[in-house]
Formats: sequence, structure tokens, C-alpha cells
Amino acid sequence: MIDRAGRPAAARAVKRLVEAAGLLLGVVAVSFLLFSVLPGDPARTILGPNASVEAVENLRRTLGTDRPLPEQFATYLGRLARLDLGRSIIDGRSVGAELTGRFRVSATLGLLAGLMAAGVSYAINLGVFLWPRLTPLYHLTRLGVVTPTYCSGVLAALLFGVLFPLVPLGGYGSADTAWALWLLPAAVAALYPAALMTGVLRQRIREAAASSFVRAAAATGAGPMRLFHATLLPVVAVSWLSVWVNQLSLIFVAAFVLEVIFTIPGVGLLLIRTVQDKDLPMLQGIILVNASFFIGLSSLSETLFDWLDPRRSVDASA
Amino acid sequence: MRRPDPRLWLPVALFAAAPFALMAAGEARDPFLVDTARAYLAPGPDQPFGTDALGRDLLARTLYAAGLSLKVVAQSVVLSLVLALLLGGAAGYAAGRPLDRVIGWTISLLYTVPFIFVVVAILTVLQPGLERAYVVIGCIGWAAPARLVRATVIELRGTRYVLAQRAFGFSPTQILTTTLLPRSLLPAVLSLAYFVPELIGIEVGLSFFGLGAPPPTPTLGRLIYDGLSEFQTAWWLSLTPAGVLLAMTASVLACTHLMLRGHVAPAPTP
Amino acid sequence: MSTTSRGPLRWALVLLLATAGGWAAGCGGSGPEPAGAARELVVAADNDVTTLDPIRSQEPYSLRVIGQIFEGLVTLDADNGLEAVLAESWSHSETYDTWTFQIRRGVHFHEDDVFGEPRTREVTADDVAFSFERLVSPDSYPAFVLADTLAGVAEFQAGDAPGVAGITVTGPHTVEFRLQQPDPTFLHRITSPWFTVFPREAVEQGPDVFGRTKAVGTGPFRLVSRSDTEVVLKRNAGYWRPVDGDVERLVFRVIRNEQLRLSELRNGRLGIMSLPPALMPAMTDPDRPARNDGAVALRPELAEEFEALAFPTFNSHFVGFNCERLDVHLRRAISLGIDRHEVVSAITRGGATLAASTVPSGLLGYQPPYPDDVHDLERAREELRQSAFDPDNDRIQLLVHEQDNADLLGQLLQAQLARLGIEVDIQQLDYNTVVDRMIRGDTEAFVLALEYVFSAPEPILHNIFHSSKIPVPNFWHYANPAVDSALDDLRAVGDRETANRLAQDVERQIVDDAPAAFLYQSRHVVVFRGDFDGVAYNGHGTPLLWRVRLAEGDGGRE
Repeated sequence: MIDRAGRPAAARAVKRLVEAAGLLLGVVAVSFLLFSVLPGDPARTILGPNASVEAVENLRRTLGTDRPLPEQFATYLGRLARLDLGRSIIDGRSVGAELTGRFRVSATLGLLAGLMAAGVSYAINLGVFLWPRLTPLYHLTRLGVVTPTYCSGVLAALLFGVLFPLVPLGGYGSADTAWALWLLPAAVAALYPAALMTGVLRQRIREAAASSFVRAAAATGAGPMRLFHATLLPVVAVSWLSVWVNQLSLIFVAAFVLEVIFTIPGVGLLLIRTVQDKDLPMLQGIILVNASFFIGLSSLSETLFDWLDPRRSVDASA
Repeated sequence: MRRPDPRLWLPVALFAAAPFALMAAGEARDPFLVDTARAYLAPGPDQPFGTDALGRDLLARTLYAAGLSLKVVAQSVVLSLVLALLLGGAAGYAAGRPLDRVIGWTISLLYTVPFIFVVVAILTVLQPGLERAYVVIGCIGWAAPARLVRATVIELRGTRYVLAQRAFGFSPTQILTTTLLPRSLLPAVLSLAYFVPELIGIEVGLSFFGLGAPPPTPTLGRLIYDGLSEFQTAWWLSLTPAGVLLAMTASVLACTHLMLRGHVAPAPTP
Repeated sequence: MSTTSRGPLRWALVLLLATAGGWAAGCGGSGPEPAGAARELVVAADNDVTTLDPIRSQEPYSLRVIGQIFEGLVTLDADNGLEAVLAESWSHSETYDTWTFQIRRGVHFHEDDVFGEPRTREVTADDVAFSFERLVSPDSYPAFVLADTLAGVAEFQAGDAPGVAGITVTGPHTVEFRLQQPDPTFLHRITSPWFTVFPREAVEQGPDVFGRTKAVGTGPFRLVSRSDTEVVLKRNAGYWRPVDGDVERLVFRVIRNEQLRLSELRNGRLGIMSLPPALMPAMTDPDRPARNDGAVALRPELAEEFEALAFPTFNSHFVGFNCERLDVHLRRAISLGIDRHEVVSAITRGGATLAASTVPSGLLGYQPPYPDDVHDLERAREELRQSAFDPDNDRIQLLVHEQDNADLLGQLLQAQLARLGIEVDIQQLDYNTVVDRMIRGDTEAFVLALEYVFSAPEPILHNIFHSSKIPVPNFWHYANPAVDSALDDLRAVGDRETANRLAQDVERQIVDDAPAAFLYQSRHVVVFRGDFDGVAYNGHGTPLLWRVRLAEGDGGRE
């Protein structure tokens, strides 16, 4: 029981890596199975509604989509083992190259939104802690979660067009995108996680504030600023941050939706088309990159949390 | 564990009845009556919410849609909550052991494959349909709150209160049901309650794959989405259903807070 | 508390995690502002420009860009007349089964590295042969246009022949097309931007380059850069013919949300945008409907700054039936029971003309057999009585999808047919699935629109109604021996007037057999800044932007 906590950090890291690899393999297998049942036929998609049945059958043979599923999966795994994500069935472009650029765009948006959400939840809780009169502000954040992302996204964009008629809203794909343009979709994507994180942080802080050692710290005459940062925050940090890591996945989903509204050339814009076209290599590529990102993030955060809060690793073995 | 305050059942009963009441109110005004001569009427005495492109009464459609969406989303949320408490609690209690590994693995899997496409794929194999879609969503949506539950359980397990319970010979099930799960309820319920508008919106995504409600059945998500494409000409098409959604979500959130406040909040201080 | 002792270091690490966002954002990158936006025209695209490779293009947004970069042998001008482009002249055998093209001399491809020095070369008959062979290759989207026409395509597609036997280069600037059967309308098969000419050197760069970062043609504009959301072109300085227009830089900007597109137009950052039906009421004057000459009246507050025109394009919107599953009386009843005037006003809001048959009006002088609606409730009820359909117990399943307002149309038809006593269940699916089910015959009725690649009546009719085309593109599984033989006979008729008259007879028969209830032909409505001159779209929906003159001073962007 003690072994997990007592094991050297390196061994634990290796173990995490093995687990992550296993999970990734699982994701690949499950998503392959899932998407192979999607309706549609890439050969028909390539040739369109006018092509003859023979032409489509010919192409299916060339593409290999007429092969049994296990064989297709084995071929795919073989290529993956050589670190080759393959090519799009629909138009032959390289999946790896396509995804690198797009994922970077989505990650920009997602992480920016994540930072905004964390910042808002921190700032509001600090504000309410220092000046209880600001409590209505806390309730205000909840407004962010009353409409679906696509609705707040479109309304925010239209409002922006009215308020700042001179600032182009778009052109996210080109090199001259202004930095500030990212803020609008990111803020919309941050609405939901900001509300949730503010709520969770507030709840945790109230609990912690009631505990004996915080009351003891307060009794020593530490100022509220110091009390918040030095005593309260460290206690609640891990659960707050784990909520953050948790929310990132949802933030990314929201970011995908916003990409469609704001025409941002990220993964989201690609995803819908890929599913409708049943472009399996591209789809698997998206899942794989997405999964690697989140699995990496969660391993990293686990390691970090262990370190931030040594109780966790001991506890985990109990 | 204390018995729940009987007064708490009132809002629960209200919420259970609301979908049916809303749908009935909508049907009374006929949400399906097409009359193109009355297309695009702005809100007025005869049509408080205005009319849509086919001249249908938007109030009727919104009420009906609100009831329908509330019904299926509520089912899905309850399902997710039960699964999250069960699986998240079990994982948290068995942290580090194989059970936790298996559950954690499943959660990560659900997390890393975009949610909606798992739903799409499953629904393609099963029969599509709105109710079924939300059951599938409920069966997947437990992953996020389950992580919160697991984290809370792990955190609480180390407290002196729980250690004392253990020392007194409480069984793991007792500790889970009397102490750990009630205290994990808040974050789980909150994360799901906050997600209600998004869950209503997911129907839009599903309808692109033909897996949502078949037209002309209105859902709240679809009404808002379709209305937004005509926002600058017919603002009422999107803003009135969005307003209803806002009111609905706000009351769900308010009730959740009300029900949970004082009921599960007192911390088992060390 | 032990957690506070190592505090600062831990928080530094947390920050590190957070700055990952900063890294990614930095890579998303801001670069230098583009050079002076003089004589720039920004055209809005409603959806992603997925590719610039003609054989892969499946949607109008990329075809409109392809039409600026590439040119074919012939095309359609602003009045939809035939225009010689890379073909200087042509001739055909007496039986219309061999066509010989003289390729225009002195036309050069856009300057590009793929050619080595001197970075360009003249277009020859070999390029035409290469391009057409690629256009009918097994994975080419537009291959269906020539698959049943050009000799040797079937063998080539099946992999039994190394090339297409029907294409012969007979001289450096002469190429000959041999057809499987006579076809007087062959030229009208190849007027769309799909059938254009591109150099082998560019194609050989592979699918990651050609059509994505590189597109080399002979057109009036050449590619500067492309992403899925923005394509930048500039004027081709070496264009082979004199140009009236003065656009130096041409940008296609994708804005998927129609409301944002409108807001960008109003804010002056778009020069031209197309109007989908959803925006028609927002933009047009409700009191003054679109006129038949193409002028569309804008709302007074927009009319000062903008102008709008509606261009006829070759398409047909309809609800199709599976003839094997719905009997002819029921199909007729539905076709007669639909009020097309209501459909056109409620669904397209002036963006379409009523069409009770499928071949677009005005195509090579063609006049449809029924100029107005065929709506007749009396006859519809009579047909319904003769049908095996039992209104009390039977229901029809209608498939709709996310494109062309199909779901709204489906809902209106459902209401109209309910008045007739026919109950309709609507099922919404994604477009590809609807097509899939139509082909498999797994449907009773479906809402669909066809964009016609052919700019002549005969190939359109033959392609979708000849029984040899079951199940694709004869989706309706429609077989009428009389129509088959009439269509076969039409392939030998060279005289335009006779051909039009015979085609009209065929259409009359088809409307009577009702494999579909044809509803309307949508028009391409575009809004542009009022100080532009020469804005025109041809029947393929291709904008002829090389003719556009911008106002003095600025372009679409301020």
C-alpha cells in the first residue's frame, strides 16, 4: 500500500506513460469501431450523387473501404506504428500536416478561454472575499450559462459588429489576424467554465474559511489579502485546478462550435465535414491528436497535483 | 443521514410536472398550424411571440418545445447524476485500486472522444429518436461530474471525520451514502445544472445527422438556432425562445441552489 | 501548513502550465499587415473553399474560385451564350460523334516555379488531353459528365486501359474527342468550371500542394494564398485577352454565419455577397418584389450604398419520388396538389422562379411546357382516388436534409399535402445519407435540388430520366420506354429548334408521369456596392469578376 507513494518519482512517471499509451490505444480502437458504423460511403462522397454504381464500386476497391473491418483496422494500426497518420480518403491531403495547423488554432482558442475562465473565477472570488458587497457579481457570472454556446456566440458577434463597425470580425485564417480578435470567441467559450469554476471555488473557500486552521490564521491578524493567498488558496487550489483541467475538454467543444460561427479554421470546422464525409483517416487523426492532448494534460496535471498536495498520493493508497 | 426536508419535494414535483404542462399549453395553441399569409408577424396581441416563416404561432411552438426539451434533458441529467454518484463515488473510494482504474479509464475515454460523435455513432446503430438520444447523452454525460465526485470523495476520505467513522466500524457503503456522496452532490449537481442549456443546444448538432426530433416537432435548441439565421429581420424568432430558455435555466439553477443550501452544505469539520 | 512552505515554486509551475496557452496563441500568430489594399475586391463565400483542384471540387464556393483561376475550352458568357476560351475554334463530324478543337496559340499558364525557367509555358493540345484524362479518372467528381459520352472512359476507369481512347492529340494545337454516341450538345457538357485545363507539372506536386497551396491555370486571376477560410488572388498580368475590369487583388472570404456576413457587408468590409433565402427579407424591399429582368429592389436604407441583381442559374428544386414504391396516381396527385406559388413566396422569398418541369427556362432558347403552376386540387383528388394509397391508413415518408432550405420546404409540403388528405412524416438526415438512401431505393419521397452542369436540355433529360441511368442519377427509378426512345432519338437532332420542341414533348410526358413534383428554379441573388460596374454571374453561378470595375479609389475594403 505504501509502495505507490514510496516508489521513486521516475518509476511513477513511467507507469503514467504506460497507462497513457494504453488509454490512447483504447481511444484509437473504440473510435475506429464507433466511426465505422457511421452512415455514408466515402467513395460515394468523392464521386457525388451523379456517379454510376460501377464507378463507386471501383473507387471503393481502390480506397480499400470494401475490405473487412479488422483488416482495415490492422492496416491503420500498422501505419500508425510508423507514426504515419495517413491521408484523407476524400482528397488525399496529409492528415498530419492538416491537423498541425488546425489544432494549433483550436488550442489557442481553447487555452485562451481556459485562462480567461480561471482568471475570472479567481478575480471574482478574491473580490467577493475582500469586499463582501460584491457578492452580486458572483451571481452575475451564472448568467453566462443560461444560453447555449452557439446562441451567445452569434449574439456576441453581432453586438461586436454594432459596437466596433471598423474592426473586421474574421479572417482568422490569415497571417494578419489581430491578437485582440481572439478575445471575443474565447470569452464566449469561457462563459460556462467561468461560471462553474467561480461557483466551485466559492464553495471551497467558504468551507475552508470555516475550518479551524484558517480561523486560527485569521486570528493571528493576517490581512485578508494575505489570508486569501497564503492560507485559503493553497488549500483549495488542487480541487480548483482539477476542475479547470476537467473543464478544458468542454471548453474545447465550445471552441469547436464557435469556430463554425466565427469561421475560425480550427479542428471544429473540419470535424463536422469529416464526420459527414466519413473520412476515417482524418477523423481518427482528429481523435488521436485531441486524445493525446488531453491525456498528456491530465498526466501532467496529476503529477503536478501530487507535488502540490502530497496528501493525495498517500491518500490514494489508503 | 438526515431525512430530506419534505418541503424540498415541492420544487421537485413542480419540475416533474412542468414539461407536461408546458407541452399541453403549447398544444392548446396549435404549434403546427401553417398559414403562410401570417408569416413573419412581429409580436402583437394575437401572437404574443410573433410568427415564423410558415406563419406558425411562435408562442405555441416555444411552449411546446420548452416542455419537450425540459422533459428529455431532465431525464438525461438525472441519469447522468445517478451514474456519476455511483461510479464516481466507487472510484473515489477505491482510489488507486483496479476498480478506480477501470472507471478512470472509461471516464478518460469518454472525455477524449468528442461527446457528440459518440452519441451520433451509438444512435446510428440503435434507432434514432429524441428521447433515445438524450438517454444516450445521459449515459455519457456522467463522465465530467463523476470526476468531481471522485475528487471530492478522495479529499473527504482523509478527513478526521471519516477516519473516525471508519474507526467506529461503519461499512464503506455506509460511509459513502451517509457522508461522502451527499457532500459530493453539490459539485456534481452544479456542473450538470450549469450544463442544461448546452444539453438543450446539443439537439441542434444531432438534428444535422437526422438524430434529433423530426420536423416539424420544435425543440428549444432548434428554435433558437433557426431563429438566429434571421436575427436582423425577425429578432423574435431567436430572442423569445432564448428568453424562455434563460428563464428556464435560471429557475433550474435557483432551485438547485435552494435545495442544496443548508441541506448538504454543512462541512464535517475536523 | 506544509503546502505553504514551497508555495512560490509550485505556483511558478502552475503558471508554466498556463503559459502553454500563450505558446499556442503565439503560433496562431500575427504577421505584418498586407500591402496596400488598392483595387481590392472582397467576395463573401458562404462556406469553406475546400479545394482548388477541379476534379475534387464538389461545392459552388470552390467552383466560383476555380472559375477565376482556370479556363476550359469553352465557357458561358454573361448571357449564357457559348464563348470560346482556350479553344480558338472547333468542328464536328457530320454525325456529331467526333469533335476537333483548335487550341488557342500564345496562351500561357500563370508564372510558377513548377515550370522551372522561364517559369511559364504555352498551353498545348497535350495539356488539354492530360486535363481531360484526369477529369474522367476514377476518383474525379465531374467524371460522370463524360462517362457515358466520351469513348474509352469506361475502360480507363476500370483500369483496363492506360489512357482514354477517345482523346487524341493530332497536332501541337489540335485535339480530337471521339464520342460513344452522337452528341450535338457536346460543347454544352464542358462549359462548367470543372472542365478546365491545368498543367501536368502542377498536378505532379501531389494532393497536398495542387489545389491546396498551388493552383496554376490560365485564368484572369492567379493564386496568392489559400486557406479553407480565405483565398487571395491577384490579377494575371499575362492574361491572353484584354480585360475591361480593374480588380488587382481579389479576396474570397469565408463567413459561414449569414448574419455575420450581412453585418460585415454593412460595415463595408465586403464588396459582393450572395443572398441566401434567409437574408432576402432583411435586404430586399418587401413592397417591391424582384423583377424578371434581374433587378432586385433593396430596402431604402441599403439602396443608397448597395445594388442587387438576380441571375438565372441552372438548377431545379423538387420533391422526388421512388417510382417503384409510390404509384403514378399518387405521384400525380402530389404534383397537382402542391401550391407552387406559395412554395416560391414562402420558401425562396423572391429568390426563385416557379418551374413545374425540370429543365431551366431559357437554356439554349428552351421554353418549358408549363409556364405556370400545374396546381389543380380537383384533379389531384381524382388521382388520389385512383391510387392504391389509402389516406386513412397510409403515410408517406419524406426525407429532408440540411441543404437548400430542404427542411422548411418539407414542412410546408407536409401542410399542403395534409389539406389534400395525404399524411406525410418528415425524416431529417444529413445530405450524404439522403443521397445514399435514394440510390439504394430506400425512400418514398425526398426533397432535393440539382445543379445542372450541362447547359443544354438534352443531356439533362437523358442523364436523370433515361432508364439506363437507374439507380443513379435516375434516383426516382423512373422507366418509361417511350421517354427512353425519345431521348435516344434526341441525340441525333442537330437543329436547335427541333431539339427544343422534342425536349418539350419529353418534359410534358415526364411531368405527367411525375417521377418528381418540380417546384422552382432558384436564382443567384447577389448584393454589391453600388459603385461597382459590370458585376455578372453566368448560369453555372460563376462570377465573371475580370469584368468588374471598382469605383475610383477604393475596393471592397476600407
